[in-house]
Amino acid sequence: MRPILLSGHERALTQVKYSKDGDIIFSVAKDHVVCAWYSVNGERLGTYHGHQGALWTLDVDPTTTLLATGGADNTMRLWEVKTGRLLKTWDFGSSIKRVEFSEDGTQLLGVTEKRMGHLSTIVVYDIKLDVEAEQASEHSLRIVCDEAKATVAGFSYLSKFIISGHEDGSVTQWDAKTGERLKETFPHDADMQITDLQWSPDRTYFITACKDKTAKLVTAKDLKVLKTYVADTPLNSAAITPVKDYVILGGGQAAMDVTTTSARQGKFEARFYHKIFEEEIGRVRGHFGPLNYVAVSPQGTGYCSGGEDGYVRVHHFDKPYFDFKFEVERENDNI
Amino acid sequence: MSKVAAQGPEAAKRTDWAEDEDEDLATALPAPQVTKNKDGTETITTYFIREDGKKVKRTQRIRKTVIKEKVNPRVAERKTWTKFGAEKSKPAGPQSDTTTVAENIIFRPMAGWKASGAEKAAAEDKKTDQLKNVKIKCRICSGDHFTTKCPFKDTMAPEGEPGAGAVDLDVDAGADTAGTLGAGGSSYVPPHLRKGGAGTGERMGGKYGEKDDLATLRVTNVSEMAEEQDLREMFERFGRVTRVFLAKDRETGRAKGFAFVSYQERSEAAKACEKMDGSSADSGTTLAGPARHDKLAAGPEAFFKQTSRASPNASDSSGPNLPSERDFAHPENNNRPPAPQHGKRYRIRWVADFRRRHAAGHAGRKLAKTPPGDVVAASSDSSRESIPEDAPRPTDHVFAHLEHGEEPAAEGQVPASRRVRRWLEDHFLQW
Repeated sequence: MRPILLSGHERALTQVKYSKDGDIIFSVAKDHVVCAWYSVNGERLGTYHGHQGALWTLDVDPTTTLLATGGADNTMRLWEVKTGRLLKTWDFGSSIKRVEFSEDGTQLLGVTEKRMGHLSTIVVYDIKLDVEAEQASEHSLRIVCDEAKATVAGFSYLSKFIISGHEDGSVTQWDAKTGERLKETFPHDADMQITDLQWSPDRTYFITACKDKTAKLVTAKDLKVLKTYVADTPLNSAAITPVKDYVILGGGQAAMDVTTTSARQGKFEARFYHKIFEEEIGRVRGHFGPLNYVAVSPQGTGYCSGGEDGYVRVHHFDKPYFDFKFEVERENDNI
Repeated sequence: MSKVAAQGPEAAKRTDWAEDEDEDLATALPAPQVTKNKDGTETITTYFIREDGKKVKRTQRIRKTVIKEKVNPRVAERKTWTKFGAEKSKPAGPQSDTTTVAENIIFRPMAGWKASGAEKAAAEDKKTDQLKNVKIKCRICSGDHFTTKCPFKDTMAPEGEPGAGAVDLDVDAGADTAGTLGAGGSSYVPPHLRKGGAGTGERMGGKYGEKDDLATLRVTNVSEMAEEQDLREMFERFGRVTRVFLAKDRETGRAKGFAFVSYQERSEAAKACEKMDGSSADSGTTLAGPARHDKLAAGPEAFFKQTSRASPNASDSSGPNLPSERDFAHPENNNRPPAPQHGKRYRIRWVADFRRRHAAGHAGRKLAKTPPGDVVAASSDSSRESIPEDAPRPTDHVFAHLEHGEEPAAEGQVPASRRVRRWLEDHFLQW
């Protein structure tokens, strides 16, 4: 496969996302710009200007009309995807580390950083899926994480739960209606930050990436750990691929240590594991910095990765990817 | 929904800007031209002014292929969106400043992928472990320190070396000298021969040189154009090569025709010696052999270039194996026509053997000053023994004749054959 190299950012990428139809890739980096790209050929559709600080996160609603971003300028913003127009700005006391739309796009959550006397919170807004509508300024729900700050969060299936990952390696399940804490587990090593949480296509389970060099598949309903994927480097991101039963992990040496490690030692590769057998099946090289985020196309035809090196690499899977099967799978097919 | 994908530019060639340095064209840019070619491709000629102010004509040949693809209507609609932000008013299609195609990556998922990678890593670990486990052993006192750090290094020679210890040597030498003087009467025995006759004189390269020699090969018949790297590659097939030395002419920079290859292990060197000896050398250059007397005039290195060891009767068909007395012993040889070249074949010998031969030859030469006697005979015999590969040579009788029968012309004068040999040794063989 020939990756497409997107070099629209001047600083390290922080998050990349596909639209629900897989045709547009959105990317945010520590420079203050959001970019939208056509995934098929890497053509840049446009940029969204307005943020005043590094951007940490973005999400796009399922209909690809609205785009939410959050960053270090303590704002969460809503954009019109088509034109790049800024629709709404929410101001906070600290930076926004994560935004995510619910499955139907009617709710938007934001995770705020614990800093400057502010506790880490998860805020939820009701969203009207219309570019002309006036969006609510007041949050519909606010969860305060007073024990350990939340780093990632998302809506489970049917917006039933909010699942959050924390800096101490814990995963918490909250009631999405009331904000009540329902469950808490510690799937990862203590005091190892959970860096990413991505959902399966049906949002019944999710994968967490952690600095403890493992990624885990956890159910949304009872937070049971289903699978564990062991890597040899701190992980920044993990994604579940549709169509084929794989997971993709991305990571690498911490950004501050990059200068002291060679690209080979740094292990700046996207690792592919078989989702069921937990076995590594291959790696894709290319970045010369840690991978900060990996995103899989919802159609399962490709993935893209955003790296500390400032590049987004878009990969369209070719035949061997789809053909690969374990021996037991092949035997099963023949029966 | 159909989509037009441009495949190309197949041939994006820029004409020399100097050709476009036309006053008329400099002011107005011609409109882009599109011409349709017979084979279905299009040639697009565009003119533009480069950043440095030069006007450039760009000719692109593209082939347009229509790929019909069914996509979601929403996706199709989004494809028609106009660009905005930094991309506003940019033409359709990927822009070269933001979008590039990277190198092809072969991604082939494999069961047990990790195992293969881990194995390699494990092997590397093993190697480093091995290196770590190598015990440091002093060659003098067998202590666990480097020989150079040994507290006895000034007073004792390394274990197993003859004449260990300065005190020993003095005693032995005194006894020997006394004995020889008593038995032989007036004949002077040089110090390096006082111990057992086959003693070795001082050599260049220090007294530990022998150790390295054990795994070092001397390669002759090397092509003039050879490079150290070529040799290294060739010999690395048999083991880890620690050093390659290719003798080069100082003035021309060309290889002189011989080289030394050191291996880490003697066994590897032995293997290389066995496999490579007589194997065909780099066929890149074949030297047209000049007449023998020309070679003499050109200097002894010419011998190295042309020697060959294709058959036991090599001396008849091609050049001699080594610079030796043979050619000088038979003056008529000098008038022989140039020997036919049968392709260069490497000749590989142990450096250690070579050194021993050299040492023996050295001893014999020195002894030539003395009248032939028991000592001389013994020394020449010992030199014979130390060169096992000389044994089957058909010209041995010449040697024997020379060594035993030739009378030195006068006291203090060395026979011509030995003079040349000494010259050779002094210039090329003292390594």
